[in-house]
Amino acid sequence: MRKFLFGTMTLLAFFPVSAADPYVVDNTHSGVMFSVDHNNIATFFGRFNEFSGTMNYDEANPASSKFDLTIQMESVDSANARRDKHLRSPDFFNTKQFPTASFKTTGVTANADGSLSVTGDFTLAGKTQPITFAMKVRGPVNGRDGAKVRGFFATAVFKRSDFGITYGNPGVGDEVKITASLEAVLK
Amino acid sequence: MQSNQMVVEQLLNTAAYPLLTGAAVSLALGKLTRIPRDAAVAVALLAGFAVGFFAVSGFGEFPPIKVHEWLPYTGLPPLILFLVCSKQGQKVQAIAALVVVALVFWLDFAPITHAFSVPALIAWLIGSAIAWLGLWHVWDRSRDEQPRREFFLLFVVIATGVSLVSVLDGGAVIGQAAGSLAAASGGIFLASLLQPKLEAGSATIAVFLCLFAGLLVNAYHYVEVRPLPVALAYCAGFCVLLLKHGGLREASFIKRTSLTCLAGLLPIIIAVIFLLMNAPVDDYYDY
Repeated sequence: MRKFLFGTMTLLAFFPVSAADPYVVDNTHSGVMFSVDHNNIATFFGRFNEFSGTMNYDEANPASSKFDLTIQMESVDSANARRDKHLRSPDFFNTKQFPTASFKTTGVTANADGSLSVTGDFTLAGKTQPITFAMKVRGPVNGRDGAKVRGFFATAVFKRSDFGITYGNPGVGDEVKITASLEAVLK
Repeated sequence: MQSNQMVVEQLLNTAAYPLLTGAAVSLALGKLTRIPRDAAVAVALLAGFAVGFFAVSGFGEFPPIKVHEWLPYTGLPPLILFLVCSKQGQKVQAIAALVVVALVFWLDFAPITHAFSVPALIAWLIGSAIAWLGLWHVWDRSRDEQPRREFFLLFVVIATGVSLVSVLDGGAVIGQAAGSLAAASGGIFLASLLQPKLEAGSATIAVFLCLFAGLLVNAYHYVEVRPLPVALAYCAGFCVLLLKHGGLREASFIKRTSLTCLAGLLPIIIAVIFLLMNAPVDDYYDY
């Protein structure tokens, strides 16, 4: 028995078990927005209404955290039906062929100010490129039903041309800022 | 100033370069080489379209990721197969048409198979293939012993129809690609004024119809242009039937071409009116 315990503890020492808590994104209190320059004089904002994600957050060791997000691209909403249709077309997101965009974490760095730099593979319009989100984590607090709730606020900037989306450039800027403001509930 | 530059750039990419390429390649191949005139025209049509397409969309990676980026390549199988089969009988050409249509439609539909049930996908593939073969049959039977220059103008009208319905219903890239096809056809027509023996034979017709079909499939399934305008743009292709009409057969080139082009324009005009009348009036958008 002693040998067994010793062996188990040795194994655990070599293969540490992640203490990340799985938080599931609560869509009703979350938003995924994007912004892009228009005519080099203004910033235009749009949003995606349907998305899902899991935030496996390890407070003690943030580097072992994992954040995954999947966006339903058909749900793009720019407050203009014709523009939404154009955004869904092959000129931009090509949503019939590529119905989702996704982000999968490959590495997390904890910064001195308490924020996180979350690097991962972002897949958009059929292409995957690494991007880095600057993320702030808030909470936890107890939700109405007593469940632990955290807030994850993340922003990243990428070039849409890196994903093969070049239509309208330079009238519609190349740099896109994506902001995910997510409230997630511990499961 | 910036928007003016963009308009000039778009006109060059979508219209000028394909037109010049179509004209130059057909003239050069028709005059300087001994390859059949149909081959010269088919190559010029595909080259003109490809130049316009790549100028607008960029020369991406191969194999392409996005389905519409396959469009220039979908002209290659009909070009090769129909040139190889040009001296063969109707049965061999019909088999070539079947092979081509299967390949082209599979390329167009493969990325969105997830959006259909299996029976619906089979119905779409078979339905699209029948629609294409019907149009191909009509065009192929409309060929005569003499070169038909009016074919090139009909190509312009029909491709312009796809361009208009795509642009008006939300898809600029497909609209510009169709514009390139129209411009390349226009360039070949201009070249045929200098070199009247340039003809639209079986290879040219097959290449044009494959590009036309690819554009329509993209317009309907990917841009989500409404069904009626797409159907009307397809129907415009049948205007060539008029050339077989007894009264027009012996008519002058100008009369024959004008009436046939008008017949092709009619469904396109209806499609454009439909789209304009059904556009949301309080929903201005210029990208």
